[in-house]
Amino acid sequence: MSHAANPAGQAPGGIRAPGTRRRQRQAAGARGGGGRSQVWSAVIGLGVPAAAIIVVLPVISGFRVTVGGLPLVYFWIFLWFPLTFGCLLISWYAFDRRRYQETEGETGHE
Amino acid sequence: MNDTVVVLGIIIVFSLLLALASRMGLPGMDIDQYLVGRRSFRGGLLFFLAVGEIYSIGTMIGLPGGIYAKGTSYGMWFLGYILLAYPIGYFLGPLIWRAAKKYNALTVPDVFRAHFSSRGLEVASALAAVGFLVGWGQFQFTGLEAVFSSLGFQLTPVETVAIAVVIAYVYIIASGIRSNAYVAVMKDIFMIGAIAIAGIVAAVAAPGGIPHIFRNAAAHGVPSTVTGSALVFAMTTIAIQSVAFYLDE
Repeated sequence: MSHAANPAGQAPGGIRAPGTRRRQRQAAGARGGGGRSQVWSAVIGLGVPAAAIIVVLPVISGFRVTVGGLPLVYFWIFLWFPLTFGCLLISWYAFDRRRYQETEGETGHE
Repeated sequence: MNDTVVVLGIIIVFSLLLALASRMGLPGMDIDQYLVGRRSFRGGLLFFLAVGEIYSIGTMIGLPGGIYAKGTSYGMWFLGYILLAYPIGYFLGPLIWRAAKKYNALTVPDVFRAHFSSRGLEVASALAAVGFLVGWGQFQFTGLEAVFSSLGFQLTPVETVAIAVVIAYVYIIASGIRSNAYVAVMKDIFMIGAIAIAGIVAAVAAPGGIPHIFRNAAAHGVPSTVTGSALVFAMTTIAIQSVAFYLDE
């Protein structure tokens, strides 16, 4: 909070430089298939659970059906708690873990 | 009531001792130690800080009370938004982590200032954080008063706030974020225990089990479906709240 703002007109060079390096790394990663694995990770880890809740849930929420004594709305959401966990496990073990270890070090700490 | 006072007193004293114990062995306090624990927290403690963030009085009182009062559409809202908040946090959290590391940030406004080179944005985000915390705190105290009054304590809002201020102040002066993390571990163990016990009791011990609970609700006129404006309300709130959940940390 005590830092002074950058004076007008002075380029924040110290800030821009690491960003540039990161973009170069990402570009290199994309050439090696890293970009595609990031897309797949997002599709499985976020796209699939989002589709189950945002797209499917409002469609089935009007059905007067119970599954195992639970109204379908509750059954569907409770079902997606373990399934979302499974999606994130796939994202992590299949796509993200190696990339994170490369950028953050073996344990994620410095 | 007297038993409640004893149990509550033991828990509060234990939490204060835990906060003071977190200070032991630290070389000395400076702003870096105070706000970010010199960035020395390992995965386990960070896990409890991040998980503890979602368990508040709302988890215990607000959400069950909301579902009890408003029915299935509120159940859909609460469960749906927290379900989607986690995958979003999985992808968003590392970006925030990296930005904080890159700019050596101590606070969230530090990240805004460094990333956008804007002192104005830093001040605006700090004011917004404090401003929204007031409303959030109001809800916490409302819930706390409901808990205390059901336990037989008749505390006025001013008394509740005064007690909370004293306890929170001791936590914070003990060792800043570190003592809060230690107390959060204790709080989360209690809370997860309470949620699990209450859930298991409701599911196992209740006559007729889970199906009976929903049959009973249906017999009292709670619809098992969500349609119309209640559906629009639930879905739009899920969409916005799940995205915003990790942005407010």
